[in-house]
Amino acid sequence: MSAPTDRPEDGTPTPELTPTLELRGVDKSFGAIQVLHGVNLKVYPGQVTALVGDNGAGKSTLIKSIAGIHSIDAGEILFEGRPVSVSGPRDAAALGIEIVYQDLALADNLDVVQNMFLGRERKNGFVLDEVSMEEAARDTLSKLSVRTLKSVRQLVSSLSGGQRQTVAIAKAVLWESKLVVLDEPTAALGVAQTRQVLDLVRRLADTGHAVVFISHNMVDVFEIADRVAALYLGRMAADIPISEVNRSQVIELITAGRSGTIGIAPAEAAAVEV
Amino acid sequence: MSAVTVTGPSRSPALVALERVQSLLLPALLIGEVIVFALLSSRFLSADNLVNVAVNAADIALIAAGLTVVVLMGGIDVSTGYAVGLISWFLATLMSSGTPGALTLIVALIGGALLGLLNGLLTARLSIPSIVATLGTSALFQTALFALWNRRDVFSGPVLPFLSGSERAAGVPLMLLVVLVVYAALHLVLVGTRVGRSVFAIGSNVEAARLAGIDVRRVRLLGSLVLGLLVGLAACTYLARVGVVQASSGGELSLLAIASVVVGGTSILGGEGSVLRTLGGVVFIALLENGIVLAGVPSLWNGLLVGCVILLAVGVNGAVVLLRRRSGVAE
Repeated sequence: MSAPTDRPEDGTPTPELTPTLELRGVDKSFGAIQVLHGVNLKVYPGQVTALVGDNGAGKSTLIKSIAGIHSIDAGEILFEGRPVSVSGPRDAAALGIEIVYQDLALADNLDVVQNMFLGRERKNGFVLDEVSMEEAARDTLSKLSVRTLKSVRQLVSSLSGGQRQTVAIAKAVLWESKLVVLDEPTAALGVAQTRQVLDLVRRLADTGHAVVFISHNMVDVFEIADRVAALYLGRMAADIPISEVNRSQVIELITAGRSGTIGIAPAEAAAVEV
Repeated sequence: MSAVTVTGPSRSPALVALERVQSLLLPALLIGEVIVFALLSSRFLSADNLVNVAVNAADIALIAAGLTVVVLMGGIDVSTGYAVGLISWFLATLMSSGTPGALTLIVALIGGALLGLLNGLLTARLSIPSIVATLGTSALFQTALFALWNRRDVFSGPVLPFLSGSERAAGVPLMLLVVLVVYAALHLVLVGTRVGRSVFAIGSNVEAARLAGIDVRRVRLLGSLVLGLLVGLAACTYLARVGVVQASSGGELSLLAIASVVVGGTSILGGEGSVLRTLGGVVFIALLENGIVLAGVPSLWNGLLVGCVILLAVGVNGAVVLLRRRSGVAE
């Protein structure tokens, strides 16, 4: 895991910093419909990159390509500077990519520990090593200052939305992931729980993780993001430090693909709309 | 660093009460059943009768153990009865032509595994809903048995002595020990191993299991294979019990096995339950069948009672799930 990184005030990473994840010219089509057009993206360690875009802009396709659920048609995915091919959730996990899906992908009938270790249980010979898993889960939760769970042996079905999100994020930390992608983590939450999750996301970046934060909520984006990447009809309109734009510019990037001098060229933007 | 304290969602009193009903349903049914039948017949609680019940319940017990694994993954199998019938026809035919018992047992296991794999391939590989796929294979097995039977009943003794009720150690039939070993082994695998954990995860949230890197199809196939092997073993104990294979042999076992699983409290929706609960369900169903006969009630009523108990167990389970959803707990 990379060392905790200083967060420069302007959000620009220091020059020698290698992006944890870099996409170069990624194309993806489903049949005749091209969903991603030459997408470039850089995600740096210790930073929260907000991925924004309207419904259908290609956000979900993009993260599923990163997760290895979709294979890409053209372009390159670099992880810590090395070109990689990700062909499934296991590959992604092995690299250190953890995706926290919107529907959370937690098993209701399993408890917190069982969910955090799902698919990667620790074994003692043939038998599950429950003691060491429970200890590791508790350590991770306390490292993230999570004090909202009564017990790590609680069934996930008995947790609130914020607690479930917490468990899903803690799972990413437990696995020493380098890149954590959060798909609209605050969409279904109330005010207090949103606060709790945003704090957790910030802590995640402050402990050196590269974080991609997908959100429609501009308040949340401007509160915790260091960079903003705006997708417009499958094209990356901008991937810039958040200090260089204001809220209305980001909304323009989402809805029109460009804002002033930022964004895709007018000719290209016009071509896209036809 | 701030940590906001958030309490979990509140559980409505109705849900709490219903969950209690769900967990106490089987013990209550068992106690009620034992009291009623003990009053109706003095022979019911005799050691002889109870051993007899245990021996007669072996085939249902073996099927229900394997079926629990499939149901825990959110699947079902309605073909087990005719699978037992079809396999026992082959076993009886082999035995009557003088094939050694050990070899016949191997044939039973291989036959069961093949039928299980057929169901597994249809449901796991082709993603056909298991109720539809196994209805289809059930009709297939039934017709195959009918064609093979060809108006000729096949009589046979037990495949191996220890698979009948006759061989005993200190009064306990060895067959009963076989059943208990199967349950203990399955229980340990389900609660203590990675593949067991995968079974619960698949039944609880297939998508989560898949995203966690679990090979869902392989685990499902494995579940069908285990059920198939136990169906093969059950064919041996079935043959030892009835001694003859006819046109519709085994057909009644499908429903009784499903009844044992759901009465035991394993959720028909998957993700929740255990083989030990199923063992309790088997005891209930076996005592019910036996008690009704001893009480001199026409066996017609047996089906009515089994049906009502299935509906009661599934109804309580469904109501719990519904209330959990409504109170937002499972959101």
